[in-house]
Amino acid sequence: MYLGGLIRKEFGRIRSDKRTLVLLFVIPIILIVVFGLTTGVGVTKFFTSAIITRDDMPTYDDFPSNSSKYDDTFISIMQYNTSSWDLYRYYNATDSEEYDNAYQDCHDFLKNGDIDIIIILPENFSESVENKINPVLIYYIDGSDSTAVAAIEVAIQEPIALFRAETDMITNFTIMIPYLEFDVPFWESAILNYAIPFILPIIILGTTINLTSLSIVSEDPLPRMLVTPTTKREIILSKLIANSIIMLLQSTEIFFMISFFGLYSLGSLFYFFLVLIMIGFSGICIGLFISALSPTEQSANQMYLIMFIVIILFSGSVLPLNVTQPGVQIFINLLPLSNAVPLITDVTLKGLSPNLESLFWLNLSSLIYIMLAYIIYMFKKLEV
Amino acid sequence: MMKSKKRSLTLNFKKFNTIITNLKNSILRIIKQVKKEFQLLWTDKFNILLAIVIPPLIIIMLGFTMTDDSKQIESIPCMIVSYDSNTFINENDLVESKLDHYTIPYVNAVNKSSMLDLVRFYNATEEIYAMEQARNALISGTVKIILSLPVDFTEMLEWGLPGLIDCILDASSIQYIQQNLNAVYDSIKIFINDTNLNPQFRVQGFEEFSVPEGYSSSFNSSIVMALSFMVFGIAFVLSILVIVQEKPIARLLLTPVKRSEILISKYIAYVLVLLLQVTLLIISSLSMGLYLTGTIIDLFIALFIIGFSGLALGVFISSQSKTKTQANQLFLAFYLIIILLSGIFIPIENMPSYLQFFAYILPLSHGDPLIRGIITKGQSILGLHFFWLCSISLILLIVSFLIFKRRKYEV
Repeated sequence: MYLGGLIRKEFGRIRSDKRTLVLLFVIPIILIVVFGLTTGVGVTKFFTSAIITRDDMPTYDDFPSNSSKYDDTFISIMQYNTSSWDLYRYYNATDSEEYDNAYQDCHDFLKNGDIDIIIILPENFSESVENKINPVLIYYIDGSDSTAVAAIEVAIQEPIALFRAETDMITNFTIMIPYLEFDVPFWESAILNYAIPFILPIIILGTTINLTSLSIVSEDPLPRMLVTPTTKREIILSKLIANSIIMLLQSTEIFFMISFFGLYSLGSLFYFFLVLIMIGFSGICIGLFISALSPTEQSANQMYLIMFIVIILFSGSVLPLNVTQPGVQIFINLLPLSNAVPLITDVTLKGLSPNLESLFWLNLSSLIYIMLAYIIYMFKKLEV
Repeated sequence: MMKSKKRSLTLNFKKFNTIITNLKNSILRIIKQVKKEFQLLWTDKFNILLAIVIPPLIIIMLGFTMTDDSKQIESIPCMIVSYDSNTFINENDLVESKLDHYTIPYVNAVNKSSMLDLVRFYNATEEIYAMEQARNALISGTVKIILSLPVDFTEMLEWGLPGLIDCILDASSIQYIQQNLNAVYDSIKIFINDTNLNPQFRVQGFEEFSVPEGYSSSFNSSIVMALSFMVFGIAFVLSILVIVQEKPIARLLLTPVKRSEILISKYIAYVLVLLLQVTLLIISSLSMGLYLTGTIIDLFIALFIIGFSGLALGVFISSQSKTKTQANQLFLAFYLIIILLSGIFIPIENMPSYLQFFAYILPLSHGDPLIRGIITKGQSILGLHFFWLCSISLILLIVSFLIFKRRKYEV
């Protein structure tokens, strides 16, 4: 009976704060619409390059005649034919001084972020092609861009393959043809659907933690309630139930919005909905933990932000989790986003049922946070 | 004549004296207000602990959790399904062939590659359900790549035509697609070298602005990302309640204290906290092995201006909010939008043009490239991003003053 009354009181408190409720339901809509309009289809790195050709310079190696027949072909392919390359500028260096000046220009482009890579065609480029000797391509890449560094060796195979086909240099050529399994089809919004497993939990966690992180710390009548037969356990439980119902409504809204706004899901939508609810529940538990721990509203806000930053940093989507120390994995598993991302990916892109291990960790972490919130609240001193 | 001149001089002197006295009083009042602000901050020690001690602790935690980069290579589980020994019928002359010279060399190359872990090899001539089994393994996550050698693989290479290797990748996680492609390419390089398939293009790569040996590139890249949104976020959240929650402001206005002095003192107090926070963040980052290409001064100023823009936004929200709840709501709305449109998670270039315009107005869209440029490329602080952050901060500061001046208080 007490519990029913407390839940009603909690709903009254939440309802009295209409602006929070509006934000809780409006923010996800705005963000889903914003990301639904986000375009872009590339899942691999797009390179902007500058080329310096030294092919016009005389060659004194084993080549009988000096040739510069093929550098233009390569430059033309880079300029017009490739799908993942863009040519920013090219230089024809006929002597060392011109080369030095061209390199300096390109280095500045690289430093300012105008280009990702400088490609240099050496003096013997055309001669090597003509004589069927392994031609050499030299590149200088922006080493601070880890995506570019990781992608360059494979990406450069595209212009090389086109060049080999153009110059009839196809003997002994071995190349891979990639087929992307479980990818987002080209007619769907690739960026949105690859971002969903990360963006949706961030929105849900962000709003639900915010909804609850002030629920204990900012409620003035709480100490007075303890003078009545109401127990602390009932207070926490009522807050958990009331906020969970609000979260359930929010998850339903998000589920319908994202379904209408470009969700591509191979798996069951029921599982998808279930995972959203579990993520939301986790956010509620973390929010209550923060609220129980914080002495003031200001510190609750601070803690909310720090918790949010830690959750994002250690989600596995921002920093690769395989480079972390093994002991840290347990800590990472106790953060909701590290489990939420693979759960949504499994359901939407792979069409699988939710991974049991991720489900276990997500729910275990929720349980731990709510237990901690309860214990801290039990020992919290409140003055009437 | 002389008398009137003397009188005007005396008047001017009196005016000047009054101005100096007023200024002195004003400075004294501001100093007292700043002291009061610190006392107020000190009453909530937990809050100070969160604002100053926790951010460097997160940096230290990142430093300890990131392992040595050399240990990063983790082989990707894969399966090979070879159809090469099946009968190939040439469409031109209808001649049948069963050449299969290159399957074993390729399997050996995959075994040699440190980037791939060959879970199983299937000869599809002997096992007709090979691909089905391999696909089941891909769905269950046992393997991440299926490498399929087509029926004409050897024939093509022998006839001087390109030999194609089909690779079916698990593309459900965008961040691992490139890693999978690199691993397959590594096996092809080994295969080409071991079987002397010439001529090949030799690609010689050099990295500019990369993290040198002895430093952790994973730590460096995580710090570059974490610093900007941590400094901005903490300065932002620290200041969202500074005006709206302070009850004595109304009573303060009955004293000679001016509204502008109240706001200036708040700014001074929080700027001092921000300076301390930025100093501690830089010290903790450098002590954990951050490789800084630019100067410490540039990094310090960059972090400060990012933090200051957060502070200015926080004060702006606080000055125009009527209640604490409203300030909290606005904080949440602003923070989520700023974080998600910052370009850290989705590149700004992939957004529609009107959204790009909106994203570029937001401070964090400039904070991240500013920090990245200084840390990784040694760029100077002076540039578009810095001036944009200064402009945003200045606009927010002026607007906050105007709103606070017109705010109505009831004593």
